[in-house]
Amino acid sequence: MAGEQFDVIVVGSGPGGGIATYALATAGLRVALVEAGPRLTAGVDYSGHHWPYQYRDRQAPNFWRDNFLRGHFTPVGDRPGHGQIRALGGRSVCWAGHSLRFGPKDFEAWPISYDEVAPYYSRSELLMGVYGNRDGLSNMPDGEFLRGVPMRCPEKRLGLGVQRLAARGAKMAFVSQRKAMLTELPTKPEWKHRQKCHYCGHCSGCAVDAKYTSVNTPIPLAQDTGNLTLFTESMATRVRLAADGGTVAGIDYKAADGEVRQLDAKALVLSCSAVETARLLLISGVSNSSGQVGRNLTSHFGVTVLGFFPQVVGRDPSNDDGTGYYHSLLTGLYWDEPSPDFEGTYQVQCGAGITSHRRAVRTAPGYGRTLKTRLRELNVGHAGMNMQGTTLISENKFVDLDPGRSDAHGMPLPRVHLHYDDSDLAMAQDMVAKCEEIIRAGEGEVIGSPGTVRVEDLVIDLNHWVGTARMGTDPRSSVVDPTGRSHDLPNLFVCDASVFPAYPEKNPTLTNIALSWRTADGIAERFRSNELG
Amino acid sequence: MERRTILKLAAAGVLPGSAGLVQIACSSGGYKPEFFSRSDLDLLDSLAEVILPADDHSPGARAARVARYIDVVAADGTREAQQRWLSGLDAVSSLAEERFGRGFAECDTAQQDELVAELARREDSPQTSADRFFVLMKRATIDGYYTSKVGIDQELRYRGNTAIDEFPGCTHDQHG
Repeated sequence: MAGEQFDVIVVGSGPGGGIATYALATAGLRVALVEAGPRLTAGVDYSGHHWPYQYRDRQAPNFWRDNFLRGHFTPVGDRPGHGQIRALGGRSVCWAGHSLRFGPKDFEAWPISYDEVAPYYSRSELLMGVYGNRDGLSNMPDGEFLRGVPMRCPEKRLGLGVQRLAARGAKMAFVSQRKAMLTELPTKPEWKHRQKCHYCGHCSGCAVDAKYTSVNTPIPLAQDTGNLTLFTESMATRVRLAADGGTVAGIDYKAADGEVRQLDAKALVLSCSAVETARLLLISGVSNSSGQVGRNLTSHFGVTVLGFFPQVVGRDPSNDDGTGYYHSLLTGLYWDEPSPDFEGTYQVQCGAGITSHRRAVRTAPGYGRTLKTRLRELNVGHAGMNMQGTTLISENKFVDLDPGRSDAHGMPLPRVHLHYDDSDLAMAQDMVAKCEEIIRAGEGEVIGSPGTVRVEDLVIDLNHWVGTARMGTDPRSSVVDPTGRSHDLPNLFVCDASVFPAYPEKNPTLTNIALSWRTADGIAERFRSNELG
Repeated sequence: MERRTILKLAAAGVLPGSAGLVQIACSSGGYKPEFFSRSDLDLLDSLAEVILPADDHSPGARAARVARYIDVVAADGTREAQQRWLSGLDAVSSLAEERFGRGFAECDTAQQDELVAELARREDSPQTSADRFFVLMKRATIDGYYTSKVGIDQELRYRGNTAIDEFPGCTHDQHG
């Protein structure tokens, strides 16, 4: 039975799939966007502005927990979850908004250069609305920024520490965050569904769409063209090949009513996230002549160091919410000269302040008035430093299919094999030493640190997986070519962070969006030149 | 979803806070304990107030109804966790009986202070079950206090969780 016919099917509506859908629909192509999850509603599925004491267990509603309890997160075999929410907009609905360009050095291990991606960074930032300051850093280029958001007092003390160490020759910089949130009035027509940020700090489930998501910008814009057909609660179960096996014919998907149906198209875009894209390719047994699907997996990981600055104890802590906890960033480490002790780079996201249901500092010695006063001072004057480094890409980190476990659709669950190598531990140890040094240089006290780092201290970022369908020029060692097209199937494309062949310390989403836009433009160009369709 | 799994996720940083489906609290009227006995609840109440007392700055753990919070935590906890709470309360009661011949809640302020001072002395390397209970109790007291209206409004003087036009950030030249 032939399925409904489209020019392009996009599977997955997260940051990559959302922008690809927009680019393809505005190019005049008929697009089917297939999303496994439902559309979530602000005020029902997520909302902020609650107080913990309004609830029996003093736990205010919270995007992560609430949606996890409703089963909206995708399951993984040997991991409790990998943080990719199954809902229209995917991870873009609950991301923190951090939007950092990768720098020219970061692209040295890629088959494409910074200059090739830069125009797409600019376009993406202009569409998303990214705030930031022009810092003039060599390997984290400035973008098209809306007005930046300032740091809180303890973060300024960290900045002072960095400044002092930099004056003595340390290679590091301390800057304000850059996030995809509207700090100015939404004057552009592309922002008609969005509002200016009101600094409540409930960014994961931003209820007013100040933060960019696929749902509030590219998907409605694609719908405006009349070229988009949206399939929600529709789980892609298989990539289906044409009779000759040389091209993709379409997909099978399980609809909300439980029926398996087919869609046909001249081109297929997978945007399911690094874990799920690899899973679908492995289940379908396609585009894996290299054997690299699921390999080269990496993510960010880290440890936390806490500092305290007695100088700021008298400050007014009445409203520290802002755009979430992290308003500042320690960066520029090991850009010019790699560490002899570990491979790769890390950055440190820094924050401070008191929020509605987060007590950042919960430990101090003793009891009574001494304890109470100390905790008050620590919460007002603390700064949190959260390392974000890239785990070493190695043979023992990969995604495969669980032979023993399946999901509700009968599809094998993916397994994420994560191990820490010595290099990862050495990186974390270096971070701890650096952060302690910075806190002391800012005349603060280290109040929380793992000291000697053990594997148990490390926390993997369950949202930042990349690399499972990597981009390269050699079909024997990579899954897609430098345009994002499968080496094996000429009408199959990947628009998500699976394609990253190397991963710097910077957050992945802006680069995912820029690259996916570039890949989608390439698809549209192939339609125009009749190479596709 | 298993509570254990959710706690694991919380530990991994995916989910802030611990588990428990949210429900509107019944804040008025007499409190009916879900897990502890009345006398246990009184002990928890007294102990919490010694750990985070009222001072010139703000009311303490008693006004913040920390004992009720701990009652809910214990009610939602595993059987092992519940056992830890009960045996810990026993240990503190025995200590008070041995030393002063009465229950902890019945001790005067100086006596309570003396008992807690002793427990707190070994909080970094708890040895007895009473020591271990103090670590658990202190953590829960802090959690309950800073999620209460008293803790948020009066102790921290937090005025956020609202809409503002601009975020001012640090406006002090001397801070950096």
